[in-house]
Amino acid sequence: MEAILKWVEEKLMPPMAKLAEQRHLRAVRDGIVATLPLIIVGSFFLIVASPPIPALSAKVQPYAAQILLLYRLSVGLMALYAVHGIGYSLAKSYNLDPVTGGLLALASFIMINLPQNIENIGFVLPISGLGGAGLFSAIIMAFFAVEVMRFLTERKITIKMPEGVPESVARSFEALIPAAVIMVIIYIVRIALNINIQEVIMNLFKPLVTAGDSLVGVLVPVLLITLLWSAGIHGVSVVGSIARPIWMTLLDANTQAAAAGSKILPHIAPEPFFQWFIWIGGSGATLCLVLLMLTSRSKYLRNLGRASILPGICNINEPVVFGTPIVLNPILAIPFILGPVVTAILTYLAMAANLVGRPYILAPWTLPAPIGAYLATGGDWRAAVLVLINIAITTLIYFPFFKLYERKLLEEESSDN
Amino acid sequence: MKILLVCSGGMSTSIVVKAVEKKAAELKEDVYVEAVSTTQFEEKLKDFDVALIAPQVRHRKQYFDEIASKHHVPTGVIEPQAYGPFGGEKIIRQAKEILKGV
Repeated sequence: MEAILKWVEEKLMPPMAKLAEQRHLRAVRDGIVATLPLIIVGSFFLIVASPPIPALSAKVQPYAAQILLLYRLSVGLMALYAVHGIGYSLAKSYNLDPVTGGLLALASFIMINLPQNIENIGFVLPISGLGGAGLFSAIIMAFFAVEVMRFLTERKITIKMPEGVPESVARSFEALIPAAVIMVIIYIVRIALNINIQEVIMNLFKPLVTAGDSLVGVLVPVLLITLLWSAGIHGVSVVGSIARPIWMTLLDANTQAAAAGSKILPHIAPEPFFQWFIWIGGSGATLCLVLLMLTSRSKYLRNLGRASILPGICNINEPVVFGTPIVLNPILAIPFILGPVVTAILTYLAMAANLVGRPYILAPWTLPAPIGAYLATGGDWRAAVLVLINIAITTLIYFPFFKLYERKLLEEESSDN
Repeated sequence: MKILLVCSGGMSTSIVVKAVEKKAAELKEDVYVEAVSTTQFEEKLKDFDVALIAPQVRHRKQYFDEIASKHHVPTGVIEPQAYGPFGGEKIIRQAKEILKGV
């Protein structure tokens, strides 16, 4: 175990950390994270439109289409909201004007979605390409827009206004040439050559999305996250910057299926799968460890358990991870890595066999896990039961290692006195 | 002494804030401490004497340092052992040492 921890710290961590710090990935992460409030609130409209209580659901039914409108304009436009933030962050990282970066990214993305002329209504932009399905196109188009802007700015191919011109005016002149270049390129590719950029990008990333929803695609991020955390690095923040676009695409496909009324959703592994069923109490499923600590004979563990139980219920586990510590602790790192693998396999199989509903609602991550799981699955009580089973399983996995570590601490505590 | 703590979402550092405040009151130290998320780091930074980075985001130190040097605020990474409900004293000591070195 010590060799593995050493390997994680020296070999796995530096390249992963570097990858997460890569400016494009950072921009994607910041852009998508900025949309989360809209997506969390928007996805709750889905629950309101079809509440888990049958009597209530019948009453709401006549208004369901109306209630779903705000879901469609929030979750359903996920890529549209994200693209601006991605362009903004990427431009900012290059020290370019972020407002222009966000605007050009937004324009590039909208322009690959062509409006339709509908009789009696006029031109209409279909929103089907602006949600999760368009997320990868949004990312690529934001990169395209900002890179064009950077290319032109670095070569000084911009209109510079003399000093004394107000900043906002100068800014809009500076954006003229990048805007022209971007629009001409998009015109040639999308309209003159009639290449459906949206579809091409979607097909390109389809294998990645399919892989992300497989059992292996679930276990890889689970293992990477716990390995990184066992070296004391925020695993979700690192792995999430790569995996989040996939998770969001899966989530969007599930919300759409749910909004269309289907009972069995297409995907198993959007982010709530990990959040509620695997990371119970935080990464590494540490809630059970905190529960074990509460009655520990070691004074230190008991105090730490008491101090960590409330944050633990809210899935905040840094006090346990660093306080126990689990970080670089060859005894406790074993269940910390092993436990989530076991519960991930079990949960995946349970959902694949449709014993438990699949997640499609994004709930705030600080909710207690059984409640979060219940909400995430649109009110499936079996999801809450599965969370309790997973807590029991991880408790069994942690128990022998906890006892081993407790004995070690007890020896130290008695020698102190 | 004004200390800014930064972690990923600002959640876990807010627990550490309590630990530092408690210890500061015990030691009768004049310490003001606040927790922020990565994205709020820059806007908050200029009002603080020293910025301490949570150990789980230490791989982003370079990013934080770039911002902090713009505002001339010294930084440090909190030791893993100090990052918990009982680490208040260590953090206060670390902040003082960083400020002494400036």
